Amino acid sequence: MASSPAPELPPDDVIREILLRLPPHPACFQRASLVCKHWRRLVRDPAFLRVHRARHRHGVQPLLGFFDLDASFVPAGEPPDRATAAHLSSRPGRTRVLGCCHGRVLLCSTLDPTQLLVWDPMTQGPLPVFMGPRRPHLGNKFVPLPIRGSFTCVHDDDDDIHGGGEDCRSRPFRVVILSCSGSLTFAGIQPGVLVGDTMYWLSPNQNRFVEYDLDTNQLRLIQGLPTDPYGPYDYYQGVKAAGGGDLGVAAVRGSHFDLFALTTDSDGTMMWTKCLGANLDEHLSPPMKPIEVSDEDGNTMLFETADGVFELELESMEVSKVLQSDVAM
Amino acid sequence: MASAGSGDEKAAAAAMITLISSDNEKFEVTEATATLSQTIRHMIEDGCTDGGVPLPNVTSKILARVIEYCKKHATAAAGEEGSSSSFSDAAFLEVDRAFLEELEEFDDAFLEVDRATLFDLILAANYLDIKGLLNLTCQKVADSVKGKTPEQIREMYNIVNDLTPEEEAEIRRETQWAFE
Repeated sequence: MASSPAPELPPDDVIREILLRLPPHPACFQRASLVCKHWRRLVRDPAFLRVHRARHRHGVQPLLGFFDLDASFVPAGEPPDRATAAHLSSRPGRTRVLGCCHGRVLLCSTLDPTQLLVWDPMTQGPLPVFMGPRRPHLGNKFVPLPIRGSFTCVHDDDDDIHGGGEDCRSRPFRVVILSCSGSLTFAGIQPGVLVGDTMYWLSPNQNRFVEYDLDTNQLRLIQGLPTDPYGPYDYYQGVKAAGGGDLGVAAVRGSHFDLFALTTDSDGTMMWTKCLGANLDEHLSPPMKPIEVSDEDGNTMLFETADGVFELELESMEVSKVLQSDVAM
Repeated sequence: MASAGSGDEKAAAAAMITLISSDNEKFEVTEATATLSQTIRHMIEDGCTDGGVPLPNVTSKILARVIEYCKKHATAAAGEEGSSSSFSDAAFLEVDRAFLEELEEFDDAFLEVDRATLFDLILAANYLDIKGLLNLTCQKVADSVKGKTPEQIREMYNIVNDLTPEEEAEIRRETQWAFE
């Protein structure tokens, strides 16, 4: 098939059509930029980037890797699409990861937990440092320990920033910190999931979600998680349901997977409504273990099997391998 | 044939369009097949298809392939219209699914061509404004590019590297979290 001489490349609008269909993976763009001056210009053109972003916004976003708790980077995928761990691991000092969103990582100093840092691993730019929450009436005696933290990108309603717009890494953001002090405990609380303007943290041990509405500043608890006839599931994870509009919970028992959405009936009673059930052993070889990660988009789950770590995309139920079995996470 | 044929046949005969390739070969196609091309659709709407449609940018070899694609997909489009107007029970959906699978197989086989032909098909799809064909062929090229190194891409498409070492360094600096 490749035996004929290399053909002449078609005109610009056709090359653009081809480049538009490259997956939204930065490695692809870097390589295309390195082909020649002409391709570099085409790929850097803001109009092209806007169309490309709009075209790929609904698909699965590329997963570059993971930060473990102490902010070491574990790259995902295979070369040549695998990011080098060295650069992304040059983390600032002794820190712990609280959360991440769209390319930024929120860190908390292990020496002074009230000191929070915003880190952009890609640019390695200067780190905005700010002080986390304190409880003035308690003085500094009980420093609330940040448990989880998340970013939310700030955008106007009429400004479709995650759509055709520009990269939200260059835009303002808000930081939401969940801390505990005194008698409140949040042992085993999972990373937050942002649904609309509401942040949800799942605490499976306590059988509830903590809900924080960023618009109204209200905090409340959603008690009770879905069960099946055998009782509580083995594993729960907060996710988005109904195309991202509702809070959902993914529940796993063995290799069986159920997805529930939080719905409200006509009396205003909240309940979990099952929207999907699937047997994961069609895609993954058992035994499989769900892994808890911070996925700000709330649309994937990770499973570890003997063959490696796999990502399950909840909307399409597609499974892809992200880590080899010999990579420790 | 026109004098002896029934009314239906006459209508069908009237809906034939003649396409003329750059090397002067004539292809008779139905209007349904031809109008997958927006360019030809507009020409038909403007009533300027009498005496055939000259396509000076498309060779007979490529035009034959393009027509093959359009014939298959025009049938698919007609099938879809039929299904929406009639019942849609599970059995019907099953038939639909089988047809879509067949269409996918056709597309896969259709793309089994050398690179020069693939580019000629892209140019023809672009010129004739056939969205499905343009998408299919461009995606095929994008898939062949996505995992390749810059050197491999240059070799595949006969591109000369005119980036200076400084420019290459700059691109790599822009993405310091470089890839292996």
